[in-house]
Amino acid sequence: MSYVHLYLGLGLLLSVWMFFENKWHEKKNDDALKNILRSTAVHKPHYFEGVMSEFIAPILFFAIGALVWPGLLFLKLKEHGDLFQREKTGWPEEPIFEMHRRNLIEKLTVQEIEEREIVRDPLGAVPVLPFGHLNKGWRKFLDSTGTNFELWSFSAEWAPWGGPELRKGYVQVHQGEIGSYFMTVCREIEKAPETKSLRKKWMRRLTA
Amino acid sequence: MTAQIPERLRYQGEEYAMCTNPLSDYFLMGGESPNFEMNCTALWRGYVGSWEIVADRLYLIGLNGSLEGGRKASLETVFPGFSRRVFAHWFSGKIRLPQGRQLEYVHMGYGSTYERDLLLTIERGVVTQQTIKQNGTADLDAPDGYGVAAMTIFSEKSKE
Repeated sequence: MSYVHLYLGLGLLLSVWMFFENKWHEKKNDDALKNILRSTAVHKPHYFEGVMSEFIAPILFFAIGALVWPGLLFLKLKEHGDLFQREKTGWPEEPIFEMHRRNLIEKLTVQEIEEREIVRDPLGAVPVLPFGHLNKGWRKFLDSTGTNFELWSFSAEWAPWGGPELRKGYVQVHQGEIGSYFMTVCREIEKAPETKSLRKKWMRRLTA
Repeated sequence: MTAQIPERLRYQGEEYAMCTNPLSDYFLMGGESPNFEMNCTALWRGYVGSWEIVADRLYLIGLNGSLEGGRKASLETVFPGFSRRVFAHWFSGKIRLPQGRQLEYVHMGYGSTYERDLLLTIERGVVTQQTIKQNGTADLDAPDGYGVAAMTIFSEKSKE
């Protein structure tokens, strides 16, 4: 048996093993994920797409796999390596939202807040309570509010990873110190579009 | 990060891919989140919500996902007592509904661009404005409509 036959044989074995391992796990994870994917499908697969995915794609995978199997092996090992690395190092931490005194708007009582925050819906798709579906969160927030705490409405802008954001809601203030908050609005602030002249200005600065 | 499977929105008799996740804001604002299971890199959030706009109000009308342990998630899981429809009063911001052919595929989040974006401005669950943003003209053979090119589906083994 030549080295070429050995190389191709090993590749074929590896690609067949990877293909059926993938199929097996797919079947094991079937229900929930496939339901999700089916629910997002915008069109029924064409007959040709079925033939393609069931017969032609596996044959192509075996043929190509037999040739480039060291690459497949590398990807497989990398997949396990990446999962291991992610578990080891975790994700980098996102900036934390902080509020300042300038963000405070108005001092209010619980009753005043609850009156203005009752949510109603003509189709009855919300409990008629302060903050509607978020009422449980509001109750928890009140439970953590001491009797000598003040409640203030707030509005604050900040810049997390995704871009600038506007946050509004109510915050505890105790002896001048800002405490926990309950959010009622969290909205992305639109960035001004980058114009050609602005881009040119930056390019000039960079190349100067 | 992989391109993400979108939410779905029924609006004015049409079905749209919706590149905004209003339920993420709900969880951020203190709404209780069940532990969704992430099975796939194209669905980091672990669920797909079906939404509808009726009389200018945004409603969540379905939820498809799985929870840790393999249990199926539904609307009732997140909003007990509201199994058919939930008014999204917590959401303020823009909803992006990409339309037309693909201009550029970006394999990250909802980064891909399309010929047009139908943008709905929502204030506390109520539609206040509708605009169409023209992004350009795509090649005639470009894919039509939102799509995710590739994803990794995690096996139980690799998650262990």
